[in-house]
Amino acid sequence: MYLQIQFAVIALLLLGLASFNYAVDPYGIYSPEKSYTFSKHKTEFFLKEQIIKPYRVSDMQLDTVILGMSQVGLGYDENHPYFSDKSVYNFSMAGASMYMVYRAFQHASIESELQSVFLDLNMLSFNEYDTFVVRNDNSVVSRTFEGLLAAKEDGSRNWMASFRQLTHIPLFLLSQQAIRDSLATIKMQGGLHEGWHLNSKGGWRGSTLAPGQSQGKRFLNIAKYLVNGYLGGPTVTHPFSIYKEDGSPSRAFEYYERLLDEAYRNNVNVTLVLSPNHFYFYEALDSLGLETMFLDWKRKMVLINAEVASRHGRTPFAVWDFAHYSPLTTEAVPAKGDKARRMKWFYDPLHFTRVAGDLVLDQVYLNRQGSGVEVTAESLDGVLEMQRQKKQQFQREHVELIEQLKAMFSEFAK
Amino acid sequence: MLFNSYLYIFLFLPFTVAGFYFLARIGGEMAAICWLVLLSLVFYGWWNPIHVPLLLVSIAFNYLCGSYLQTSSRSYLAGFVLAIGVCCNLGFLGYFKYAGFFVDIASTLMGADFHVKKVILPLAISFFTFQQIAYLVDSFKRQAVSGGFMRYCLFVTFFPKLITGPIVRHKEMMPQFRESSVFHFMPSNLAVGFGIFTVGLFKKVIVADPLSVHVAPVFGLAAAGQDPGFYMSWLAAFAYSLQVYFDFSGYTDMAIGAALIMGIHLPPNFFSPYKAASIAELWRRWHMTLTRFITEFIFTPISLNFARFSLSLNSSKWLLLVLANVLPLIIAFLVVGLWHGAGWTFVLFGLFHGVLLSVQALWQEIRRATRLKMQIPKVMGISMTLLAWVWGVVLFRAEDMTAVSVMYKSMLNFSAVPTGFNDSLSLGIGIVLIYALVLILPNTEQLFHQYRPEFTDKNLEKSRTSLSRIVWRENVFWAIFLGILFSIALVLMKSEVEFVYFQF
Repeated sequence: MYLQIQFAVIALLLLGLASFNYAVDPYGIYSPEKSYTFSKHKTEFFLKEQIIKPYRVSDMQLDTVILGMSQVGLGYDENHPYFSDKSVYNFSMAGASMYMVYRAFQHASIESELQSVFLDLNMLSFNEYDTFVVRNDNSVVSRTFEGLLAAKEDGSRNWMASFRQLTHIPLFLLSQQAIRDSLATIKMQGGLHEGWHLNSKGGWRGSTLAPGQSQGKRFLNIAKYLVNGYLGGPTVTHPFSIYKEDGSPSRAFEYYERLLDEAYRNNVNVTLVLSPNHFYFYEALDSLGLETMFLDWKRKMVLINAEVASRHGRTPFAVWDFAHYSPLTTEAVPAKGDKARRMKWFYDPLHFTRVAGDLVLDQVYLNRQGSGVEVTAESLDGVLEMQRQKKQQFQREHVELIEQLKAMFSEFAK
Repeated sequence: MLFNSYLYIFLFLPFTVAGFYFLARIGGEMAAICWLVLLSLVFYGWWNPIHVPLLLVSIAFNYLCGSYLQTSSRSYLAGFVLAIGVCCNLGFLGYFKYAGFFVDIASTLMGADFHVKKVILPLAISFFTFQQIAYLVDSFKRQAVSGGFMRYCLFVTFFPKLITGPIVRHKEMMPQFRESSVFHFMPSNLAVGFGIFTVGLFKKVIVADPLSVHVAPVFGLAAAGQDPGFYMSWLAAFAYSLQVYFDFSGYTDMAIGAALIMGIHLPPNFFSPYKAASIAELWRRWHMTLTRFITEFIFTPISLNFARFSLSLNSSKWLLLVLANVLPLIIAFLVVGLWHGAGWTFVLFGLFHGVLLSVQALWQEIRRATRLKMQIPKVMGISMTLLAWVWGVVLFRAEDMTAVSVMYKSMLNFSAVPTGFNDSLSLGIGIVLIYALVLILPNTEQLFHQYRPEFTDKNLEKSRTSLSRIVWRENVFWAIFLGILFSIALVLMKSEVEFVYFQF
């Protein structure tokens, strides 16, 4: 009788809790298509994508994946007309390194018969000195991420992944974190500020700014973090670089090359897009003396692709460059005191809106006019020269603003 | 695989227990034993499978040596085999655990630049090596009886105690592996075993893990050479004393509970050490199976030999005391220190306790010689013992000698302006409350005393308070209470938090 009572108490408590978490489904992994009004928006996904998304991808039969960092989650619409007849998933992850992007590609490839990949490239994914960004850093999240991927790094199937996915179910149903996230999910529904939330196709949706919050102020705060807390500054253990100590390219380039190599070999069509950043980002790079590094990174993106293609006797994948001074990337930033105005194309120097994302997708897939330039190994030098001239022209036309930005970034870097 | 993981609680343990009883029923005792050995190896290999062959080689070697020692007469050859066996075990332990440390010392002393290739320390190497050394000595003394290779494998690998003990003796485990009642499922074993497991899980998840969050930053600051301040350094030292106790005793409870579900009784490892009124008593209550091992295999032989030597010289009683008591104590506790880790902080930890115990032994002798009647009040004894332990535990936790020096300087800087006091007031109050509960509540052994009477130490039992007379009973209240406790612990469990003693 004792045991019956004890196990009944435990079963009652745990089943009750599990049912609650299952019904709320804070990470959208059990029934992502079903949306209860009390938990429609999955708001508690941030920094847990490395665990949530491999599950979802394993459950789906995909023909297309969208890969990249947080810009991708926020900026590209999986329901864009080009994707309408495709089974697509936005496998972006906040802070994803090229290593993580490559592993995500391997996971999706082994779980589904992929036909196409949309890969948004950002130089920040190639930092040699951010252990979490470059490779598996043995942290809890990265170990869990690795354990859940269906493909091993050598491309063979990780037979333990399904088992590990099973063993993580209690974590999603019973853990303190899951309860906290379920309660927060319910609390966040229908509030004044909807916040970011994850949709069933892996994209981030929602506003990043609460009503009455100044976008200009927020924009500058993120620019400050970028300069002071990531690219350089006293809190960064090693300044940002895409090179190793001996001057050779970061390991991230190997993963980029491997991804392309596997795609050419398996006839997966990859569209490469150099992510549109706001020109504040480019000015910040200039202020920190990273402009040459940025241009070298662009060159490498194009030349590695051309080289891998020629190794396979194939036409190189299209590379679209949106990472330059253009009407899209030079959108004016509201003043700090302006709490009403919202930018059309950018949230902050790195994250663009879905409106901007649609412009990119329209140009790349629907042949519409836009600010992107298709670059090949042959046209690379010409394109870069043209972009240099456009940049100089913009700087000449906005001398005062550029001076202010330079002074501000120098201040941020201290 | 951690005891405090969903994998272990929901899959491994139920699957292993069910398989054990199922196989015992359909295939007999040997099938059940083979099953437990196999699953114990899976449990061990979960961390790093490459160490499983090492464990198996160690088992096979010791089993062969032990079998020879049990059947041979106590000849010189048997003594030689014993010496070889013990040396090989120590060499094995030394290579994996101490080579780097001793090579560094040699390099420093000789001004040379010796290097040894860093090897990954096999998990639980200290535990299974000590157990097997004890087995060889028991075999030599004819106190161990062979139960066959598979039972020996189970004695070494039995998963509940494999990783961090208790350190068991061959003679207390083997008879249990032969008992037919062990192979029949008994609901009472499940009830008691699960109850003990729940208490252990609660200690680990609800007390030890939250405390670690407050301890790590302070010791981290000290390791970086920064002064954490008088108040914070003492708070961290007290908090760590509680953390290490609840962590290790929690793990032991989970081990004892899991073993008891399968009808196997493991010896206790803790008996309210913070209720001890002297440092000697504390070591009789703290990591009891290690103390037992060190006493039997290190302290007693050294003490006896030194005493004989001293008597042969007709030395004074004070020299006899030093040779038969003080020196063996210091040597034994240096071994205790080194057993915990290859580093100067651990050596100093052992030395500190060796010196404290020696002082206590000398004090007792002085009292005897001078017929001094003065008794230290018990409350004062408990407080002083606790203070000494907290002081010593800094050596145990600090990452290196820099951290030790910074922590001690902060703890002695009475004139420092108190900083962090207001921020950590609730932590301070929490720590005081936990110590109060430790002093008034029964320990796990006392709580389940009537179901494990064979392990009750009557001398230690004297310290019962009125609240510590609370005992577990197989009734509705305890069923619901422990059910709720288990559910709470399970929900608050962070599956990746390892146990402090895993490094040993």
